[in-house]
Amino acid sequence: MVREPGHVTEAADVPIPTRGTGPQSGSRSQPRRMKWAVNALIAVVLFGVSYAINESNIHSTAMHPDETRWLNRAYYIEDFADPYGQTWQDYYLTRGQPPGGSYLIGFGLLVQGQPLHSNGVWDFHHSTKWNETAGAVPSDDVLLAGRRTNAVVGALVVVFAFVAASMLTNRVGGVFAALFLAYHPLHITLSTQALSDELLTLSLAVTFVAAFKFMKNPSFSWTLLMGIALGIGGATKLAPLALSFVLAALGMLWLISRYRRQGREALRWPASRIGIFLLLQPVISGFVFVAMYPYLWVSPVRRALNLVEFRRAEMASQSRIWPWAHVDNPKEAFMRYGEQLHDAASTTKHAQVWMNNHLGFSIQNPISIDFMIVAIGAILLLRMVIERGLWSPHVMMALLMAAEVGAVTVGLGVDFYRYYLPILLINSILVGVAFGIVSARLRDMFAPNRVAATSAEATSPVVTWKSREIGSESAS
Amino acid sequence: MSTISIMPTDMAGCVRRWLAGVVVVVVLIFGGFAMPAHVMASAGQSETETTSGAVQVEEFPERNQDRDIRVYDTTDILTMAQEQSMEGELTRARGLGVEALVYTRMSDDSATESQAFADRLRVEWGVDSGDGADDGFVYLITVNPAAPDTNSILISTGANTLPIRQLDQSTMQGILDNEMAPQIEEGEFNQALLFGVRRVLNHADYSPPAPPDPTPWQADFQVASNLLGAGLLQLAVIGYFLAPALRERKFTLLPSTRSLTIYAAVIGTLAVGTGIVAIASRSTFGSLAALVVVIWAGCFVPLLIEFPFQRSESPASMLPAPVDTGATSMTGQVNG
Repeated sequence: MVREPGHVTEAADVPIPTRGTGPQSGSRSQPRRMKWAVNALIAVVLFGVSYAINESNIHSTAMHPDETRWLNRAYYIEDFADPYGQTWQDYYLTRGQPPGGSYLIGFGLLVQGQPLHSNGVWDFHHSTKWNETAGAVPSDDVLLAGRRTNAVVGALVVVFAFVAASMLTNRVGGVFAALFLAYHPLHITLSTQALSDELLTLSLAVTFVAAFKFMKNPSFSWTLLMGIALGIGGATKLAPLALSFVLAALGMLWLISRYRRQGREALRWPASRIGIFLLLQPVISGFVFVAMYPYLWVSPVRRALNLVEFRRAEMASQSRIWPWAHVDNPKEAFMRYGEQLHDAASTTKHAQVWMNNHLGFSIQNPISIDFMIVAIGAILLLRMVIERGLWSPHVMMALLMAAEVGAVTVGLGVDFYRYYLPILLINSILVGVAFGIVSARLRDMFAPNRVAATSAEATSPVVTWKSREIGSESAS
Repeated sequence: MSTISIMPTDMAGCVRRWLAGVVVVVVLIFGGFAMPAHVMASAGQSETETTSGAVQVEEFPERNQDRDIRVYDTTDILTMAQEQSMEGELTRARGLGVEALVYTRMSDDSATESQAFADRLRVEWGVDSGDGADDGFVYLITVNPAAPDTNSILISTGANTLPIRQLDQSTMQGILDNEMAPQIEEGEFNQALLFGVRRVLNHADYSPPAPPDPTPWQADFQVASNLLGAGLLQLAVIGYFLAPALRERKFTLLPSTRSLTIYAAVIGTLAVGTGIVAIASRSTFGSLAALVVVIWAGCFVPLLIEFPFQRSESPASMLPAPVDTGATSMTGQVNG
């Protein structure tokens, strides 16, 4: 394969940031500012579109009993100030869910002037009627406030899907990724219920973006953002903590590969910073996770293991109670993605129904082509990964996305709709990749004089020298 | 004449009225006292023993050998489905370490007598989680068909029954008065029992246990931890200015990278130490202060180090060497 000038193959080749002090910065700053402004404008519009969709569905989405649980625990945000009080003792509710989602809902209720102690604990052993009688159902105002909080978070996820897909390809890809996600029925449902899944997905989206930026510019800021996002994700649903170990393994691999090529020099600072920063991920995310969860303070390791064990037991119990939802193995989990994200809820089908209802089209049997686009996006991303080599920003994001899919696939014991949201985020980014690359090809065809948009430098704009020849460590 | 003739007639009437009065009194006596006796007999007691009416003399009911039966609806005020559902609730309660039993009866006992009956039932039937644990619940519904407005529900608890997590005596009394009793007044016996049992379940399962009391060691160290936390916060503020003052001999809002690094390392280490002591002694202030300083030292200071301010070091040490271009040399010439 012929490498073009300026093509980056390895992250080590990425220079330490120059913060715009280079000679080209002056000439580049104008278009960069313009680019930023356009991107910001698109992000704001996408946020608005997604929030408007969510808001219009807030009243009509059916209430899920889990919402009452999250609303019930909204007071956690207040009790953080009393880390050794009753709330953080070892019992069912504290072990049941990490507190990230509760903090979010509590924050949302506070901002909207709603009480933090609104309803009792929903008891799943009893009927809805009983739980209403027993005061486990919040008032409409509180429920809507909780839902609105998530509507905002859902819209933020859409914005980050735009950012992630834009970074992998271009703005067109980003916009398609965002719209695909914003119009997906599952995303709309989960953005209009007072649950924690949107926060989990937001943390993942931020991690993807931060990981990409980190590989382009391996600074402590991006390291920190990655670790904090994973920590918050862990304090919401535990699973993202696993990604921090994937990053650490990647860091170890990076150091080993450097060491084999360059010997001890590769382990010295700052040459080793990418590897070390990646190795730090479990430490940072673990610290954030523990710091957010006072239940863990007195015994972080033992109680964290209790949590994992509790989640496993809960999932087994849910499988027993709802046998139809039981997922036997990863292969079956993978098959369920198709059922849930292609057949049951689909953006393309949703769009056809919308056209039937609003534009007078008469599509008799709306069909879903979501997974076809996703598959094309996955293939194109794979090609991108192969072309760019292991240590490129694109590969970093692709690896994290693959790791998340793997974690969900292996960990999925029960087929609950909300567990698919992280997969949907990844699907939407893949849709963005598909549309981004296709649009770039079309642009290349119709405007051949421009720099080929699908060329490597078009999507890795920062680095503009042959780092193999210069030597990354000397550059930094 | 009419008066005389009236006399025998009046005499007969008086006798009839007297006889009728005697009959009414006898009927009232038997009607008043015998009815509960018939009712209790249906619960397996001999009529002879219960005709005396008072609890003191009636033979006390015996518990079924099957200890898994915990609902004794002797008055049939619950449907079969309700009984089964209640058994399920009480089985769940047992799983949570709460032993409870439901008993219904017909009686015109006073509240005190009913309470005595319920207490006796709890003790003699061994309603507790283990021998001598004295921690059981008995829910007793007393139905009086002759005076339905005196129907009652009461709860007998052992010395060790309450508190269950956040369910204490006063909360339980509140549940009884505000949720169970109104249902009894409405004749909703099952609903009253559901409130009584499910509230206990809810507390046992979903309310937090009380935090353990601090050990003497922890109590002693809490003050020290609070002091450490306060000192740490002050050091974090003062140290920010002190580090460059000592190292660079100047007062600045933007210390050099090295000063900041030393500062972050020192207060970060101190914060971790303080945090460990504070957590061990369960000191809220110490823990939160340490957390704040760790976040400051571990996140904000490193970001400050990366922040593109011109620091006291030579810019050349932070930034790449400027490329010699025409523009820069021109600037140099202009500045002379």
